[in-house]
Amino acid sequence: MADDIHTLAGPYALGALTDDAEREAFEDHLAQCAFCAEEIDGLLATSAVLGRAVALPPPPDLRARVLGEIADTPQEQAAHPVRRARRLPRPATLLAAACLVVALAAGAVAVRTQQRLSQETARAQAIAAVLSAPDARTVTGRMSSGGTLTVTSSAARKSAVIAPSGLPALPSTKTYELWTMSGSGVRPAGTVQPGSAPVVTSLPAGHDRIGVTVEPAGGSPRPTTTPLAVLTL
Amino acid sequence: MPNIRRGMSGQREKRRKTRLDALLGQVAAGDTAAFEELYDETIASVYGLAVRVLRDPAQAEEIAQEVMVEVWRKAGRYDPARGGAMGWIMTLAQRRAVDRVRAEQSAAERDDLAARREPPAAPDGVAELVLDRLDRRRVRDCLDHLTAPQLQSITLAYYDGYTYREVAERTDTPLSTVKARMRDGMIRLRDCLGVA
Repeated sequence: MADDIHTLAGPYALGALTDDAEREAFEDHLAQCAFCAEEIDGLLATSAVLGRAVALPPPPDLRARVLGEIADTPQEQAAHPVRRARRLPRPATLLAAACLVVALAAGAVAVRTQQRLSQETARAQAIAAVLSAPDARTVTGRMSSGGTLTVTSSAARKSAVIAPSGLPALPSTKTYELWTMSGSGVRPAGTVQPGSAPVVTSLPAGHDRIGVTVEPAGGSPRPTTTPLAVLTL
Repeated sequence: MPNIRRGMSGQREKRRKTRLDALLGQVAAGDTAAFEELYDETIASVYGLAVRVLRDPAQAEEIAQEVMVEVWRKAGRYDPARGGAMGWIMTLAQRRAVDRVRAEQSAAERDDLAARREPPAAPDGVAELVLDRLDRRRVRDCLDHLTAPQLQSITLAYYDGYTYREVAERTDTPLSTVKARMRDGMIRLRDCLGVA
């Protein structure tokens, strides 16, 4: 079913779906499939080039008519808050950061050695620094294998906190591996297991996507399988 | 050689994309000066595509006006993850032009027009407003990399306004084949143009 609807990516990008109902069904699918949304982003940029390729000089008086009309036309409110516009840390994020720090510290105090404790504290502080950054943004995506990936990133801190949840168990020979991705490269961002705590990773310039794959235990230097999810930050 | 050309062009493209995205953000906040700039950057593409789909300059002008007013109204709903500002604006333009052509022209009329249409991609001699000569050539080169059935499916859909089901009927091809041609062709085009 999901595979079947995904074959509509080409017609969708070309404006060639049958009707509004089919288009809405496909857009619902996109909201649940980070990989598909990523593909559509590129295919729509491509069809836009097909449009630009037939550009013509517009009638000169059109500009004045359009500007006259918009002067009397109210703008619609955003249907949902635009993710990009979220500049201030929300109380919930700060609360989550605080809880995380407490939880990690408490867990650490109970069992860890002093050295391990300071590592955990440093990690908790790094997580809190990202979550409370003024430009922190959170995106969530469902993984095609089940489970979700929540990523909070801050360009100012050049870091991201990746929190997987509900990961299906893997055989002991396999692990989940996280990646930061740019237009030109992929960098490993650590391995996670079901139930793992959130991972902090640095975000090199240009790395604006987070992906997750299944790799042999211990992780791979480069992804060797199809991503279960790719989130655009 | 082609790689160098693509690299330089890609950088310029990236700057343009960033600028358009920023302008659209300002338009969403009600900035009319930003709207004027965005209009100047995009109107030739919007109008040109409407002419291509409708083959009627008067109707294309109406559609272009509707599209630009829609950009103003809905800028707050813009989702940058759908092909960037240009992707969003051209999606609005193509949809409106195709809706008009479907409402006003019978399938038979469209067949007749499609049969008489010029070859796909940018014809030479068109004013070089948005894409310079190099970029137009790049688009044409990339279209040449498609298989003939891929190119046919893409142009019938995008420029002539046929749904994938209509393309399947017209070309007597199974639906699944047409869908695959459209997706594979667009992926090949994307990789050749280096837009993503």
